[in-house]
Amino acid sequence: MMLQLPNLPAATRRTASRRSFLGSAGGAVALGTVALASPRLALAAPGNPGTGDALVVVFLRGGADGLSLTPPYGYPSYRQLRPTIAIPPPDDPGGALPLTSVDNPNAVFPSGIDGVIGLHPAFAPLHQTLWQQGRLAIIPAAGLPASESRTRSHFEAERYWERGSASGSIRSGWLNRAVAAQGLTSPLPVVNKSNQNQDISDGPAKTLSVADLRNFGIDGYRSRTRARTVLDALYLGDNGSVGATGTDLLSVVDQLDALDATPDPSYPNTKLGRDLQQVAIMLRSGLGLHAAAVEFGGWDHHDGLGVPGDTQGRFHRRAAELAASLRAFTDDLDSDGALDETSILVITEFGRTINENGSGGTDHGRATTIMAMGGGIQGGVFGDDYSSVIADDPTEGDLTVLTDFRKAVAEILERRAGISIGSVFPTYAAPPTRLGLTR
Amino acid sequence: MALAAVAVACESPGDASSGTTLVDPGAGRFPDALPLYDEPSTAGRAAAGGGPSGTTPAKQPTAEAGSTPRITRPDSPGAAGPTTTTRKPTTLPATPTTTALPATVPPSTTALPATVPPSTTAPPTTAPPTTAPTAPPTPGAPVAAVTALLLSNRATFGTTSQLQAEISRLGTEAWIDQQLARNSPEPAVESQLSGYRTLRASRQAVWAIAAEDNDPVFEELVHATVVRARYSQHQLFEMMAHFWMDHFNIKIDDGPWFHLHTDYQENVIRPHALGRFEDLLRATAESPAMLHYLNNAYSNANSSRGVNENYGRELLELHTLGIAPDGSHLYTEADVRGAALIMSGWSIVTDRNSPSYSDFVFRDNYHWQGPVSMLDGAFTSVGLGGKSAGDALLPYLAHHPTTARHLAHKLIRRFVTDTPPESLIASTAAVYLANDTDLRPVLRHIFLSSEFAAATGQKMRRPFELVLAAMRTLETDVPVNPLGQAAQTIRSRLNDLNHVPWTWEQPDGFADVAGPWLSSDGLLERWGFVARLANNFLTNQNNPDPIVSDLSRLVGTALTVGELMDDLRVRFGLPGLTPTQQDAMLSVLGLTESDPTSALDAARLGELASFLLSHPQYQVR
Repeated sequence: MMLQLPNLPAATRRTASRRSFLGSAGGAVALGTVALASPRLALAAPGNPGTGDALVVVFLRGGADGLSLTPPYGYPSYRQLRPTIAIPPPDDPGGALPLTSVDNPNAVFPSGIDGVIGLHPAFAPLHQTLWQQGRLAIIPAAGLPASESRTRSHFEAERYWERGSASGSIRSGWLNRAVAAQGLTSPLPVVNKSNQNQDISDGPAKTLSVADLRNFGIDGYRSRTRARTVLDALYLGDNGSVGATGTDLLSVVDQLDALDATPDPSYPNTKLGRDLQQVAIMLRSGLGLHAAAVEFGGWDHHDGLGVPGDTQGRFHRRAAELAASLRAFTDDLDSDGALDETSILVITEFGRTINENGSGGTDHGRATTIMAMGGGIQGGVFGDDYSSVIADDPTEGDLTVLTDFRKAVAEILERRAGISIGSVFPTYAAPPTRLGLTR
Repeated sequence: MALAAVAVACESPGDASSGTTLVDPGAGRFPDALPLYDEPSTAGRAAAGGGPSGTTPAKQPTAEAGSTPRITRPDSPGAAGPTTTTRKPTTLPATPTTTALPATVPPSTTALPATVPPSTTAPPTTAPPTTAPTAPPTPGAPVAAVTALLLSNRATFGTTSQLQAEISRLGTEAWIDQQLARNSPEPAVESQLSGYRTLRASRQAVWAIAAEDNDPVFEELVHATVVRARYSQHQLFEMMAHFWMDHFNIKIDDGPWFHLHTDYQENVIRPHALGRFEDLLRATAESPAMLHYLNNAYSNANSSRGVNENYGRELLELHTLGIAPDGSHLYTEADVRGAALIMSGWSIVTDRNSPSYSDFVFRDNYHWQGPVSMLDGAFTSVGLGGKSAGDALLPYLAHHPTTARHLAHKLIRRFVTDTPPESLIASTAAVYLANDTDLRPVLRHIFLSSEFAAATGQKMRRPFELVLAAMRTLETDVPVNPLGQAAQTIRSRLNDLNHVPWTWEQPDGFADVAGPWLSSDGLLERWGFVARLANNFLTNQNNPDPIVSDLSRLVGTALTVGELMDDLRVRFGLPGLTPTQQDAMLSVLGLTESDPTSALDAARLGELASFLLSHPQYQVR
């Protein structure tokens, strides 16, 4: 199966976007030395100035459907393969939001994909701001290339995306390694916004798991002072893995406990909304936060994904919560310039089958759509090897991976955070050109 | 032989109560000298050194520690000095402190090897079978004894002094056999749960309750799990029920279907928890809960849009064949689809007005009618019409050697170590296959293996296990009322710990390795739980259904604060404290070790217990 792109009017697939992209962002330049990252201003930390963007990754667990995130409405076969769940073109009811150079001079289209894929209508809050401002980058057909792994297992694919490799010898997460590569020591270099450790934030750099700042302090003992004395004696200097976790915790727990995490009504009153609000609080805490991992589950839509126009469909509700939370987060960071020092990535473990199944859902597939946003991100639609066909490779099936997701991540790490990616992606050979999604 | 050795520390004269409760009709079914189950000659005991088990008097490596309990001061031996010369023998079994830990781990550190990355879920992929991390001991080499502490901490939801005494009295092997014979719920505990409205009600009756309000269904389900784990003497049965809840995990959020959880736990998982895997697999495949959760109920192979692959994939990936630690798997994407086609038509009644609402039904019009070949032709549905194709596929998968290895790996990871050694995987898989997928000889083999005996400290307590272990060791009274403050508080704490039963969203179940649980947030919540538990802060003690830990029960015969600290440490299964740790505890409490135990009022006793339960080693079992 494949999605066939029709012969589109030249005006839609114009090459002007490529020129404007080359002009404005200097895209497709050869990889050279690592860029010098800018000093932090809004996110400066006393004694730990650091440089470069803070990195925030939102992981959509369950395998988010790239063809719903960015519906390829311009491909007639899309509706044939998805008779009930395909998102219609922008002008139809429940239609996609347009991603075209005609509508948005701030975006670039070096992939050549201009006006044939749109954004799911639930992303309206981000389309109104970041997309129009040219600060939202969309990379369709992204994933881990088949040469590294073809897995469609949630658990394997999550591990590989989080570790940045399918190699069994890579046991830590790329987000953590990115911070470790900078050699930064601060009280709070990496935060995992979860009760449980996640692979992506695990590794040599100190990582604190913080489920909820409102409830993050030594509590429950008869005397907190006495407990602190004893806990120090029990944990500090214990080099076992439990002891090391406790040592890291004790080093910063009181500072985190002191942060005011009163819910901000401009954020959605949901776990994701709170998680992102609290990441913003920790970014501004002066504790030197360089990377945060946030997870947002519920994307495994094997059935009842939802039909166009139904805002209560499973996909629509997830996407709307994601968009509203990211909108609040980016508005918040933008209010004092912090967004100019933050790069946000939205990723998932795989895309889904091109054709819908008999239950109105889709099964596990391969490539998906990932997004990047931030003050230093160049808005547009990016990707390698895009042609007139989004291929459904006969040997691989279900949306061939055209862009290695690490290519997008590596560019952000190098250009926005000044990180040399050799130690971050040891099994990934850097290609000669960039996507051009950074400013 | 040493394998069967039990660290018998001392008599337990005060244990009359356990003598009466140990009477079990099945207890005599497992004679010591005769193997009840077939074991392949190349595996099992032969690998562990051979010889009849349980016939050699046990060496008692910890008897000395037990007869003269004292706070260990590794760097200043003798500094603690004899605290008394008139003390009566303690009734507590001794605990191996540092003797059973791997030699490379210093006594004061936690026993989880620091070199193992927290996120590791599998042995190194580069290690071929011949270089498995834990090789079987060479014949004649000393094998670590299975201590009562180790066995009771792994085969149950947490050791108690009664359990350790029981194991010491019966011997390791007889105790394991007794637990294996208790392969059903304990009647005394079940009768405590007889007032629950939903636990034993029909699916339709539970649905009627859930249609009004899901909460009581969920509350009874979770609190029954807590009560059983806290009180049941059929501990291994309850542990296995928990294991299968993860292996065959379901999570159903959508309101009208929520009631299927109860049926799934009570009528699908628990009846087979210590039975044959083949029966369990079939029960899950036909269960309304699984058919709904993984969408097979709605998978119509004859619709223009085709089958839903969700169940077919997890049947192969999670339930049976599995993915090997190196990422390899026997099945292909075509096999995933093949399994989905073969199982298509296994469905449920979706008409809410039907008296058989949510019953299993086979829908021939949903079923793929063509022949399906799987696993390179090793299984074919040719000649198997309708449901009989799935009826044949499930036992085929249950008896497959790759399934045997997958289950062996997971069971060893559950009960022995996060990094199962190849030697034990291979021998366990062989026992499984030789015994018609019966799980009891499989567990027996694992618990009697030399790898198990050497595995002290290699498993982190998952949060549910920490909560239960702490309540069991403090002999905490947990009211059974599922709607009371005790049940509500425990659910709330488990929620903060991210380990409420039946709430893991994905079909792989809660993690069973240390990595994900070993988080700073998790540790903070653990401290918060044990602190409130030991200090009786969990519930309002003046309201109905309080959670009460009466620590005066634990004082025993200790005459001094130092002795009592040591007694509690041993009871909790902790190694010796460093002088710094001991001094910190004593100084904040304003005590010295030679003070009489009467100096420890209830508040200070609770505080002391909260400190000890916060120890890094208490997070490990």
